[in-house]
This record gives sequence, C-alpha cells and structure tokens, in this order.
Amino acid sequence: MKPFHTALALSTALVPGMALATPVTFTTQMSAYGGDGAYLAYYVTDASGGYVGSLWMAGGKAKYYSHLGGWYAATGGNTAQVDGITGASVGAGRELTITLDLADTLFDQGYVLHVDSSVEKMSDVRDDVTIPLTSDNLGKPVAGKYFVQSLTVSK
Amino acid sequence: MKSSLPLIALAVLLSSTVVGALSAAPIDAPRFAGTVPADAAQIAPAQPVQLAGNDHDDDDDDGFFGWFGHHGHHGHHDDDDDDRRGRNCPPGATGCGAAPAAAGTVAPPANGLFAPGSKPQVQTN
Repeated sequence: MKPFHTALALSTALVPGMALATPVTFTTQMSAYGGDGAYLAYYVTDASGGYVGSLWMAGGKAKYYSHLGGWYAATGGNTAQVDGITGASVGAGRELTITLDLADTLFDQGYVLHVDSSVEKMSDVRDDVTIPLTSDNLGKPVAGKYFVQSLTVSK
Repeated sequence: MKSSLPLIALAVLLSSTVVGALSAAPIDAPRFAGTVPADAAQIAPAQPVQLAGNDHDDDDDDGFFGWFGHHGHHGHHDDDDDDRRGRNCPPGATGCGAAPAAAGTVAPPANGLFAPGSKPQVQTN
C-alpha cells in the first residue's frame, strides 16, 4: 500500500507542474545592419528589475559576453547561466526562431524579457529590445533599437 | 724542473679560462634592480623565454619582461587578435573563457523558467 501512496503523491506533484509549462516561441528578426553575426542575450527580470534567469544566448564565445551589458552585469559573465541554451550568433537580416518549454507563471506576473545585442567592430546595445511578458503582448512584434528589428513572443 | 712545467702550464690555462669566462659573462643583476634596460625589447627575439606552451595561461603574457610592463606574445595570435578588437576576458570575470554547453547537449539551467527535461528548438532563416 505504501508504494502506491508514494506513487500517487509523486504523480499528483509532477502532473500539475508539467501542465503549467507551455511551448513559447521567440521570433527575432535582425535588421540589415551589414556586419558580422550578432551576439544576443535573452534574459528575464522580475517586477523589481532583479535578474531571474537566462532564456537564450546566441553566440558561443564567452570572451565576448562582457559586451552584452545588461546580461553581464546581472550574471558576472557566468556561463553556467546559459549552459544548454546557447546557439550560434545571428547574421544581419536573418530571422532566429527559438521555442522553449516555459513555465506559465512567467506571464502576467511582472516579468520582463530583455535582449542585449553586440556586433564585432560595431556596437554593443543594452536592451536592444524589451518586452513585458504579458498575455496582451503575445503575437505582437515589438521593435528593437538597433540590431534587432523586431521580436515577437507567441504561444 | 721538468716535472713542474706541466703543472705551471695547467695553472696558466685554468686561470686564463676562468678570467676569460668571467669577463665575458653579462652582469645582469644591477640592471634589473632599478631601471628598465634600453635594449629589453631587442633581447626578446634573440632569447625567447618560453614559460609554458599553453595559450590559456594569461600569466605567460607577462613572461620575463612582465617586470617591465612589457607584454610578450609568444605565439598567442588569438589573444593578439582579441586585443585589437578590445574583447579580451575582463579581470575578475566568472567563467569567462569557458564556452557554455551548446543547446541540446545538456539540460537548460534550473532557473525556474524552463520545464524540467525540456529541450530548446532553434531555427535560423
């Protein structure tokens, strides 16, 4: 009987947690800035501006991460923050689509998605684009400042 | 008398060798005590000081001439390139230089944002 109770408790604890995660797609359209591939750091802050965690890192060379000002200030350049969520840098004019299984509690709780960008021999742009993670903003492209032309968050 | 001749010859030979060696040896100690030798940069190519063959050890850059504020770059072409870009690993950085694990090779960080066991999907067009 005891094993049954244990299994039941475990399943009821896990199933709701799994149900609260949803695939979320981030579509980033880069502007035609005419330079090398851009390093992009996607990270989330809470309602008080505190760093919560990273969602994606475009660009694999850690020595360039100090140019991603907001992310670097929040993490100290700790690459463990982007282990398993790091891909290639993104070229000018390209479109990057990332789909992540994220907790539903990320939305409508005051969280904000930030994207810092940096391109070699060009500029470093802190908060190239920011989007409050709300249901209202889903599916609506938000314009970036410089290297990012637009970013759309959708479910 | 005859038997003392080889001894005298040997003594002369030894003394001339020792004196010659001492006079030819560079007297470096006083030069390092205070000022930078004017020919320090010229010494480097002729007498390269290879402390280690590892590109990742930044201390090697200082090498022998680090005492004088001169950065020797013994085959560190990548670092040279980075210096020109101004993108070297800043002092005190955490985990800097160690590349993060690529997506799909390990689980995303347990930061409370990702569902357990999820794998990111990425596409570039």
